[in-house]
Amino acid sequence: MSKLFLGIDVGSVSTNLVLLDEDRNVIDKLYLRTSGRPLQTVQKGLARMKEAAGGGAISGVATTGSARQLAGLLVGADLIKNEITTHAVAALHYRPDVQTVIEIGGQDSKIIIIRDGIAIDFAMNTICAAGTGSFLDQQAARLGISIEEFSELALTADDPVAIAGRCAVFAESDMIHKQQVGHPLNNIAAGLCEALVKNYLNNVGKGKEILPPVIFQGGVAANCGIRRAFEKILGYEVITPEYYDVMGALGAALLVRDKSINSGAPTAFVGWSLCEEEISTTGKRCHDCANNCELAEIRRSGKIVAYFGDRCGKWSQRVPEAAATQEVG
Amino acid sequence: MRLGIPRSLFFFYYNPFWTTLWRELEVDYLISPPTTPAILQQGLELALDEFCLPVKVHYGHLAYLEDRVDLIFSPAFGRWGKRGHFCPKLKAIHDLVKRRFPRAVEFWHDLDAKEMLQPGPWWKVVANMVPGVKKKKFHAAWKEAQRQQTAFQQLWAAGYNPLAAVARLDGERPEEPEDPSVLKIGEPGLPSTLKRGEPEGPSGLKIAVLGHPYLVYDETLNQQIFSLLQGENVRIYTKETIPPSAQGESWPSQRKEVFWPLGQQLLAAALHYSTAERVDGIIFLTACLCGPDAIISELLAKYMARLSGMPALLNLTLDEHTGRAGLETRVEAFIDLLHWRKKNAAV
Repeated sequence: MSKLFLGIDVGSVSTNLVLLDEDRNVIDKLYLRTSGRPLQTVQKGLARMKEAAGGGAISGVATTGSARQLAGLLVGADLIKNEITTHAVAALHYRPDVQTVIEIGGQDSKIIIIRDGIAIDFAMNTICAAGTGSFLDQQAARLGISIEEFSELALTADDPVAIAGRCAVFAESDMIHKQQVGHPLNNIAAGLCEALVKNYLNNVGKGKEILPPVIFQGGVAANCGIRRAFEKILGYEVITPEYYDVMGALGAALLVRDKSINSGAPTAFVGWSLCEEEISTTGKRCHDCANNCELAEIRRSGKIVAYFGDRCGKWSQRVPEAAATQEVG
Repeated sequence: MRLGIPRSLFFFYYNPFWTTLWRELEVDYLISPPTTPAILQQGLELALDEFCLPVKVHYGHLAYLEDRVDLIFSPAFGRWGKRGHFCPKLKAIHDLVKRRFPRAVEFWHDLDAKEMLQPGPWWKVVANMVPGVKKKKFHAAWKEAQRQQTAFQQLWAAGYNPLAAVARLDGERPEEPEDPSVLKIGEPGLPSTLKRGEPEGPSGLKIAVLGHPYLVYDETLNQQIFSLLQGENVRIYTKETIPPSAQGESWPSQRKEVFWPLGQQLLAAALHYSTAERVDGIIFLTACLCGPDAIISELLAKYMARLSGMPALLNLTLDEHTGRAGLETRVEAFIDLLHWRKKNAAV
């Protein structure tokens, strides 16, 4: 039986898992809402992957996304990688000649510039989330329609209205104004898509040379309204890969596959039993110095497995049991 | 009488001058500690929302000192050299803080053409503040402070960044660090022992971290970026340690010097680390709501884009977030990118 590798991407909005075989085929993939409970969501995802793997052994596991450290400690990751790198790796796997990767997630958006198969530049959104999925979710909810309906609606527009896209708050008031003067909903939805795309290109894509092939991935890539707006403004075809919504997890799985096969080292994966264990987190504050760090204490079946959030390392280095409880399975 | 000195803004550049002056005048002083989350928080609460992050933090340091000292040393910054200026907020800073902090005493910093401070205006303030102080004593103290400050800045050119230079002056560190590859900036409360340059770490990456001193040398504001880089085995370079001859250089496509001397120095340092002493990457730290930074970071990106073979550039905007995930992701991805580029260039 082929070796199996697992990539886990724990982002702010979604938690994604990809099960990969030795020949880089995707056996199964899963997109879950994180809903503010990253650890429990990972457990839920693992239970599903266990089924897909037929309970078989995992030869390597990697985590990525904003909760990658936490998730990595919990599952016993062989590799913990930032989401910019994993997204680039997955895009290159899908299209080896890709030159531009546009990734729009729940709260992050990024652009990765690739030339000759090498990532040479990247940018992420700064402090503003105006051009991301959360903003679209919010606006769709304001219009009283689902995000899927919103996307379909945008495609039917004949004349998108102009909406100020620089700031989520201004965009919203601009949108309300257009509604109040009687513009049809489809033109407003399409206008919002164009506003978001322009904001993305001005903010994240600023100063970057966007050349085709352009790959569009991340949760927002499901939105055909946004994709069409990109194509209209860029003047290039914009490709959405089959696994667009789990590219981070796919990249992580690809990286750990290479690492494991090259090194031949056994995996640190804690095993499928993790799905059934009780996992809890507690917040506390360390008052040992003036920094008063906010600590998160992670317990697995009642036992403390990790601390996060201390600056000096006094707490996070205290938990050797985390490594000692490994069991390959 | 006890005087409080805020460890904020240009403290990181004037620290030897300020402290030596008061020591020589036999004035007891207290320096606020390195920024803590509590100091940052208090600054955010006290300052207007429109101020830049470093000014907000300055408020936090003044608040820390308020109940612990009799008077607060409140620096303000005006001219810099022949044509240069500090930014408008730093010019106005004392006028901004004095209503909230009645114990603040203004000390105006005007740098002459040789970038030296003039004693005249300070004497008037000191004579009022320190009962019975003699003018002769003041001038002797001033001279010694100048001497310390000059020695401090000369150490920069020898490869000591400001933290390391202060430690060296204070005799806290041996003349030559035992192991110069060990950079201590990341350790809380410990100044750096770093000297610029070799030996290279095993990963062989060199990164210049450029920005205003109150971002680069404040671990709370920069979210311990140095310890993050050290963990990746990166050799770190900063603006102050470039050779004096490189300081007057400007970019080929630069039509004139930028208005703010510190900004011009940052551009010159970026040029130096892009050419003469080429690093693999430049991380440009900017503060949220800093006007000059907004312009300078754009100019730098533009100048670099017009030339080939430049190091990779990462612009990091620091704000009041205490979560570190955003910074970590960007820095880690930047390091991956530098490794990729390096490997590709070697093929």
